[in-house]
Amino acid sequence: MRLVTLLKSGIMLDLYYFKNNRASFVGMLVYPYLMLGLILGAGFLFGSAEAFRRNVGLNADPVLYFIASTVVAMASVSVMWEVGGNVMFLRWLGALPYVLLAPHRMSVVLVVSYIPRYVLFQLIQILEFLPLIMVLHGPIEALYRTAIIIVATLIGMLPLLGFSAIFAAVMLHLEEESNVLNWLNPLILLFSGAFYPVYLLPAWARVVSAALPTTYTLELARIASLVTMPSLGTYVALFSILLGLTALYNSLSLVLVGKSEEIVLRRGGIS
Amino acid sequence: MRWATKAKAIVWLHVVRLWRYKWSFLSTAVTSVLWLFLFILGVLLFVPPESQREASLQAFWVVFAWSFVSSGTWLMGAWVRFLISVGLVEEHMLRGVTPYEVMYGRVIPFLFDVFLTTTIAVLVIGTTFGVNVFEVEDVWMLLLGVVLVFLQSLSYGLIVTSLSMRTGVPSQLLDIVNMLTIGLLMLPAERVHASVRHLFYLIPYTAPMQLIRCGLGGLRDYLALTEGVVVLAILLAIAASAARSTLKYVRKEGVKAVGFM
Repeated sequence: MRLVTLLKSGIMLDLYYFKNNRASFVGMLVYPYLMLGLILGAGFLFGSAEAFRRNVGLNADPVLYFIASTVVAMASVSVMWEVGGNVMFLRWLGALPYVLLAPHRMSVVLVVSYIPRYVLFQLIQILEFLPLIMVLHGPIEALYRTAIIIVATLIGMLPLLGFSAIFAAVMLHLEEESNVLNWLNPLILLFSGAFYPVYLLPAWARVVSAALPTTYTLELARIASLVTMPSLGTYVALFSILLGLTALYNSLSLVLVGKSEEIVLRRGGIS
Repeated sequence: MRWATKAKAIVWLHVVRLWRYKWSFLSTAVTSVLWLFLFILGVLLFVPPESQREASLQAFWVVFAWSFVSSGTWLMGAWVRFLISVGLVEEHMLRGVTPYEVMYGRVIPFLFDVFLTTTIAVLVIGTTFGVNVFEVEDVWMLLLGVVLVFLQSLSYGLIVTSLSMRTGVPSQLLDIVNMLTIGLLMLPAERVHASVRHLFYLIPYTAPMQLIRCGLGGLRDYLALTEGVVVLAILLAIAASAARSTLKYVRKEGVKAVGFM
């Protein structure tokens, strides 16, 4: 089986998923606006944009700040859940033995068949916000700012895929009713500064933040919300860190998932 | 089968499952609190530092009330899908136990989840913002709010149970409704114009949440109390009627849903 076949199967899976789960499709469209609406609604109900700028210490547009945060948060959860948590879903369906016995390694199957879904879902979710950004910033600036968010989520996916495959390795060994590593998703987002900037977190938390790929993805995406655009050096620095983390987490996941698969296959604990 | 034997078996089932899946329950409670904490932090970015303490106290009680709503939805309403998927509805009915009798036992994990979520929320919110979340002016008003939100969530859970057995409710829709509920719970009734406040209280959970707020501030809101009871009576009536008709339907047609939700 070639990798292109896996990629094609991922695309077909998504198309049929949308076709057969219209409620999921509607849910996917509603979620980002709902999340954004809740935070902005409650934020403006109890506070103001001025207080936001003072607390954050940046001259940023609060709406775009939270659009970028929401999109990256949802993208990160999607990767962590669909790659890492998929093991539990496959076990539940009884399909895990087939995936484990497929010609490719399980990590490769999970990651490659997921890529089309990620690209499609994220593009839809980001473009959903385009009309709102256009109203706030005009059409040209909106396209530019949206492009920053798209690039951030695409580059940010690369290290996160390896990062999530490591969770898949752990999930192979757990036999619980639900994904007991679910709590890691909000925790990772918390340390990444998803809705609360990293520089406002305590020093020990900032150390954890530095190791997480989502921290840099969020920083990159949030450039879209700044009134004054940063220098080219900022972009280069963030890209370099994300590519470095891609190499690190993907090599780590290859080793760890391989070992984990071997152990589970030897034990026969795949049902 | 004797009523007492049935009750004993149902309680035993849910206690055993609670113990078997203790890590799943703990994980679910921690996950819910962390998500809400993340959301609260985002909202607090808009609040001036001098008001953040008060806002975090209000946020804790929203988390508390929401934990009832969430447990009612997922541990009661949505859980029936599991019972259906593993084919246990028919097994129970053949032995003279209705799926609703099994569901009543879900109150055990329901309340355990609320307890766990609240404890974690006390730790996370209390420690982070340095607030004593139990500074309450009128305990009785607060308790009334808690009892009403519990019973309303329970009724909602039973309504979702009936729907799940007949149609298969997509989990995304339940999630969306739950998220909208957070927004509703956060909205203080004082921000709603007085002329439409009686309509606002007719939305489930809003009146009990207002009673909880009254308990915190030492206020009385008899309109919220009256309408909270009225909404509860309506929800209970819908739940009972849905249960009766669904049971009749299931006995004749069988359960509808199959698969993972």
